[in-house]
Amino acid sequence: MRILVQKFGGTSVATDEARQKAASKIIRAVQAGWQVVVVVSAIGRAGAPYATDTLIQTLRDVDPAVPPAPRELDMMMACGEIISTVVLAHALRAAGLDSIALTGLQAGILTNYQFGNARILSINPSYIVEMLGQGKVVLVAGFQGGTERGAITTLGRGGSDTTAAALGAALKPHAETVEVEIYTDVNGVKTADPRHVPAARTLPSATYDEVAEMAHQGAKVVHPRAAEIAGIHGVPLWVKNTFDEEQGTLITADSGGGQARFTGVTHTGKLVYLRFPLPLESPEADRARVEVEVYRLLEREKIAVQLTSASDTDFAFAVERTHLPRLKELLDGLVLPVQLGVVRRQPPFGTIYLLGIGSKGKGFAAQKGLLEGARAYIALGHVQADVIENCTMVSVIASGLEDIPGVVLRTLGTLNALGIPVFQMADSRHSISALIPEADAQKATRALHEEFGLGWEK
Amino acid sequence: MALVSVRFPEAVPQSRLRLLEVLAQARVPINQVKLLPEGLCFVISENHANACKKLLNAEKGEVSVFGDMALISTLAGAMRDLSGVIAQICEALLSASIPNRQVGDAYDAVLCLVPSADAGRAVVALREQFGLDTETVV
Repeated sequence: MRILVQKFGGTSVATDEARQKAASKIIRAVQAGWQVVVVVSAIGRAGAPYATDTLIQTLRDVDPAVPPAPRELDMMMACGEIISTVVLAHALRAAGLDSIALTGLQAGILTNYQFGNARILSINPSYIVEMLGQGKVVLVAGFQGGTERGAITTLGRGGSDTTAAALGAALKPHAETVEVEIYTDVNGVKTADPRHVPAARTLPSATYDEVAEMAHQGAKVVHPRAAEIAGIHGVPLWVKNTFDEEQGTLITADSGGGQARFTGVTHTGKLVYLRFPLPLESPEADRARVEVEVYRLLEREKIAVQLTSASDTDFAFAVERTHLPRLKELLDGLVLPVQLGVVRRQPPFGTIYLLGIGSKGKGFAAQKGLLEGARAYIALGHVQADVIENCTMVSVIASGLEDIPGVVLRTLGTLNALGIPVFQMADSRHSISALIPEADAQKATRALHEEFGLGWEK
Repeated sequence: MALVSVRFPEAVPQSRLRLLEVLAQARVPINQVKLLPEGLCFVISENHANACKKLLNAEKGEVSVFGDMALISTLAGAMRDLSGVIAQICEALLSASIPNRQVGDAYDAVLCLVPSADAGRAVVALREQFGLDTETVV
């Protein structure tokens, strides 16, 4: 059995015309001898009658003051995919194909109880295999699964991509060949967002790691979890356009004989960067304690950090910009006692660090006045965070970065030459990222795209 | 591994580029590059440490090299969407009295630089902190 999992996104099933295009891709696959499983997203995007956002709003409109229960919210959100799956199944039936529509749970997708962002625990594909054996096209509602007690769950952002990749992985033992095709409204994985970089081109091939990295760093063509699952299970993943006949991008473990290469440039995030300089005379243990206390405060507020760094004189991180007002409330004038439990015979009897955020914190000014009176007994350190607002992260994605010398130099040099300030950098196995002003994002992306030769056919 | 920290007396952006150029020409691989207000720091493999120090001593700037370090990675999916991971890592290392000389993050990992002598204890502390081996999910 040769199984092809085809996933169609919201725009691919939004109109009658689009559904006809999708149906023609499915029919062609069947004619080519594939056993076809189709994963379907909800019809249309925000504003469309059965789009996920519209369904959520229907619940919120009941009483804006009462948030929907997570379990029932998932049940509601899952309806969008169920409706589009049934509609597409009927369109296939009208075109003469025998088809069956399944919910995620009926397809055997078992998840944990994390409503709204559930994780797949296992997939039992026996019913899908049985239906394929009867010559049916099996359509599965994307973005959803169910718990062992039958509650419907949703898989979070990019959930339909995840469904397709996970079904591909689960069906692999039941087939000679399994491939997954993600259909969307672009021609494949691009070297950059073409709205910002007109010279961006479609990659004919890419690795799972490259695509996962690009997706994590802001590219929106395929969800990173789908690329990761496909990679773990060795399932070839295509990204294709529903509305044209281009070949698209083939994603596998190796895209070019294992050679190092640059893959793309992305940018993501509306960030604010905070740097906490510590008094020079502070012992290292104090720095670590202040750092931990600040991070714990962020943990209690469920604020995620990135671009973290630490040195003997400071620590720093970036957070989503929306968190800044709350951070100012929390940190301005915060008093952190350090070493107060240590018994001493003479002053100072301990150390207190007073935190501020920016140069105009009223809390910092007020607390500073109050604490000055205690200086005879305690050591007092001031930590006023520098705040850089309106930042974003631009990233160069590559394979085999360790084999390409000078990438940091070229990235920093390109941005410096354009007068773009770089506030911080981060690197991983597959990317070099720079934190820059958001206003310079397009200029930076274009320049790095050119610097690393991504617009040229090789 | 070794942590190299360089602080420049003036013209920081240009000096950083000059230093990176020297390292690239000498084909010294660097990672965990962090910009400091007055310079930069980065991690290199221990066997490049002496050569790196010699190279950089010929340049402007105050160079510090902390050798015999180990890079400890804590791995998870969608790390940058999770709150509290960095707090738990720093807390675990502080509680075990292990100095954390540098931190860095990627979408799938948080990296900490600790003295090699403490690396084993750091791994144990982090595994305990996150209660690993309790659940496997796709």
